[in-house]
Amino acid sequence: MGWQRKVLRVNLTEGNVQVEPLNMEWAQQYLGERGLGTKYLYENMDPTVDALDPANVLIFATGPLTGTMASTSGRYAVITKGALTDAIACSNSGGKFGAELKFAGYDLLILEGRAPEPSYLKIYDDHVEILSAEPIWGKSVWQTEDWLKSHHQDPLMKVASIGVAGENCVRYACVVNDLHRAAGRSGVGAVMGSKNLKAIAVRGTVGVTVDNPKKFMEVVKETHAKLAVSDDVKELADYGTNAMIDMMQEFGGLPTRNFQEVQFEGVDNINPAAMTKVKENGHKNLLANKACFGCTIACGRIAHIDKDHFTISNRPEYWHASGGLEYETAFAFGPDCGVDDIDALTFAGFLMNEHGMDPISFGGTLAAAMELYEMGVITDEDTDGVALKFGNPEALTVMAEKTGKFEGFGQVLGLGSKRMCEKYGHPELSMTVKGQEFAGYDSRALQGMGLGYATGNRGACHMKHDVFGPDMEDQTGEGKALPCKKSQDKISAIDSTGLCWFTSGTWRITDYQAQVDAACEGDWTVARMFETGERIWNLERQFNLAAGLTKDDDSLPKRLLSEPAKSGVAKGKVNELGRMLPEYYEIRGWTDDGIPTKETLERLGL
Amino acid sequence: MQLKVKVVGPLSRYLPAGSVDNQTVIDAAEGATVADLIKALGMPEDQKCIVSIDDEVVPTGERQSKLLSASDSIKLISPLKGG
Repeated sequence: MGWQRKVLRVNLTEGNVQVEPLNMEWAQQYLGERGLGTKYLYENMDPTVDALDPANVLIFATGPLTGTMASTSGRYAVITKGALTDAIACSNSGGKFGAELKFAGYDLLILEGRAPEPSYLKIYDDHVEILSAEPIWGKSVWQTEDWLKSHHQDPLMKVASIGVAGENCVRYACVVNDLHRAAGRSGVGAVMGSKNLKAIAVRGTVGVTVDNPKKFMEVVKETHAKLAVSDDVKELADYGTNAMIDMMQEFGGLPTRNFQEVQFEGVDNINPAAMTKVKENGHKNLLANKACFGCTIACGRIAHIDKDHFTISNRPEYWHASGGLEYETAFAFGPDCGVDDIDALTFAGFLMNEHGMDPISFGGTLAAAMELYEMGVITDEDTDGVALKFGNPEALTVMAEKTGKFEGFGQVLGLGSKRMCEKYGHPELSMTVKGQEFAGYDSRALQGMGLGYATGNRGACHMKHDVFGPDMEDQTGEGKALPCKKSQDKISAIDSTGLCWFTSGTWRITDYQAQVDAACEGDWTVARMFETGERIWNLERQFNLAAGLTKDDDSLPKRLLSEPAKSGVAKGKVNELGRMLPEYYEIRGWTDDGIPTKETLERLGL
Repeated sequence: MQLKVKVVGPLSRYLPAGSVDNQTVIDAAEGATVADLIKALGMPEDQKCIVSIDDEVVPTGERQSKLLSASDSIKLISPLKGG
């Protein structure tokens, strides 16, 4: 138990819905969510197909702990071949949708083919229908969720949907659930749009079970107690993830103006203190924090925009509260684009949720466009007359809306920075790995982060490894390969449980292992958790190799390898990837070309 | 001597009341170390934090021996991760 032992398979081309038993052999090898979704993807599609081809497969996967009484058990993942990266994509989200899908009785939802007309999927336990999305095609995420709940007269329905960006296959379109939580990265929303699938609406009443309820309750009580007294949790709840912005600023790892600099002069206007500052007119950006399903941390921010601000003064439809600034949004719209207007950042963040786009990739793409504009490569004629200068808040908000609605220069920005910079003859300005934009950590200051970015199976990503500790202690590449590899394996396992990684500042691997062991059949030891994570990482690698990626894709932009940081603790330093990567391959049991050896594959049962 | 210190992030709760811009001045004896400063701020000895002096990180293992001077630009940064 832990698993529902059921997979819902929907062929959108044929209009077929099938329920099949979960492959329990795979569940024992890959646990759930990220790992199990990856296994099903690998076994169900040809990795060489185009990401937007109907032959791509889109999987929504819960974990064995999703929907249980464990803290942070609201996680699910969307696994597919990414529209942004042409590599494996695994985007993880919170909110309440994942738990509801589990309550409906399914571990995985597998979507195949392409619906002949815009459609949405309605799942009420074992009653599953493919319905026409004609009334909501062209509508925003927010309008879609409102319409579905109203149309079906069910306010408790949980919805995951795409906006106009996803319908038009903006390369970094995401899947948004519960209005402002998102499976954000790698363009999983574009894949959903390519399948003519607007939304998935779920109600579940089946509930979840665990293998050893008594033991599970004891373990969960202990793990809840640890979170309750944790400084790390208190800091996340009090400050939100945007607390990182002050830290990265002082450290000198805050990518600024498309990574030309590593510290931003306007940080005090967009940091957590600015979010709680009361302005002369009485407005305060931050209203409250918010938790996902089962979460006892509540790092989410709920904010509103000053009604006098130029973005919404004549648009009362945006006077409400919604998802506020997370660190990555604040970094990508703020320092990376040089903008220090907190209301403009918050409004652009609203637009990301409303239209369904990844703020990291949008911000990174806009930052690259701003550099192209300041170089004179693109002009007002290209940008619909908008001055794409670093620091221009109007450029941020106007382009966020144009991209979300797929209008004008927004269609170019919708390509993502790699394709856009190639289009204008300056691929070196794209701050990406495997086509995916960097998060808000400069890898000249955080060397191990750079290795994690370069080797990331879904491209540049800060959530699939954890070398923060060693990186803070030492600004060289020495000794970073091993913690990078070990943390990748550990997080691969955690991402497969149904729990949130933001518990990792408090919980040790033994805490996750104990919860999994109590919930699932089989003897889940710490060693098995690490081995499972390593198996998942290597299977993701195998998918990418089969898709045509090579060692050359494990790289960083020239800027980070040859332009030294101008200030901060890494002043004068570049990333030492050339030193770290061979050591990493060796530790992984891969060849010099980054290919898992036969011995490695056999050891992991691959 | 007087040490000018900036404490960044959630650890700023250890700053004396009335501190402006997350900065304070700590009276310390000549020969004071990073460990002495951490103690003077009221933090636990083993407090996880990043200490930088003139934008150079002081490794955790050198806190007991790293001497401070009045001219140092000292930062204590909260050790967060994620986002």
